Amino acid sequence: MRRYETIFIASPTLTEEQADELVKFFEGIIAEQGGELIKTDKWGRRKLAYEVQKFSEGYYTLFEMDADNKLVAELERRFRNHESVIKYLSVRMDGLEKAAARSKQRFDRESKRKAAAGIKDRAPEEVS
Amino acid sequence: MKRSKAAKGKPKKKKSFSGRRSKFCKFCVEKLPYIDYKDTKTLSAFTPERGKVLPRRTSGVCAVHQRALVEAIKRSRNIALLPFATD
Repeated sequence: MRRYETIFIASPTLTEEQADELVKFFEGIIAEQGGELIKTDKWGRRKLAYEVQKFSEGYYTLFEMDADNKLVAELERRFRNHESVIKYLSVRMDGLEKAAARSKQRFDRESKRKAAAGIKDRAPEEVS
Repeated sequence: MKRSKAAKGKPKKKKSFSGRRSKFCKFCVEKLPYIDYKDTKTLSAFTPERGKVLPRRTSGVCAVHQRALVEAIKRSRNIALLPFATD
């Protein structure tokens, strides 16, 4: 089991209810394939940064889940075959946690070094 | 031999960036655990009008974070949160 994040964009030709139904449909698939859905985030209707299949808007939905690679493959297959889904993206997130731990280590080391050298760290408020 | 103060002249000042603020890496200062591809607000700050990635020499982002930033921007483009190019 790995942590994944999957975003898909539903066609803007759907109504609000139809989009919700579509989300339910994919949630059903995740449950059916033995995945563990952690969070569903509906961003609602959003403008796309560029045209996708001649659409300039779409319903964004984000799934956060624990799943096997098989489930992700199946989910992507369904996305591809479903005509209301215009774009999708799956990202593995468990590598990110490791990276986060590593970067924290790096920050700690840096702040220790700076404290030893008597260099003042920049306050986050300075960043505009 | 000790030189007199007059001969020495003014002590050399460190080179200052006249009027320019010194650069620093935003992500190092904020100590974010990772750069999120969904966070368009932050990412778009590093993609000026044309939608290209801002170079490190301009933004001052450190090498480690620039690499992570580029990956985040590319992911973001893939899902149409950021443009590939704009005119």
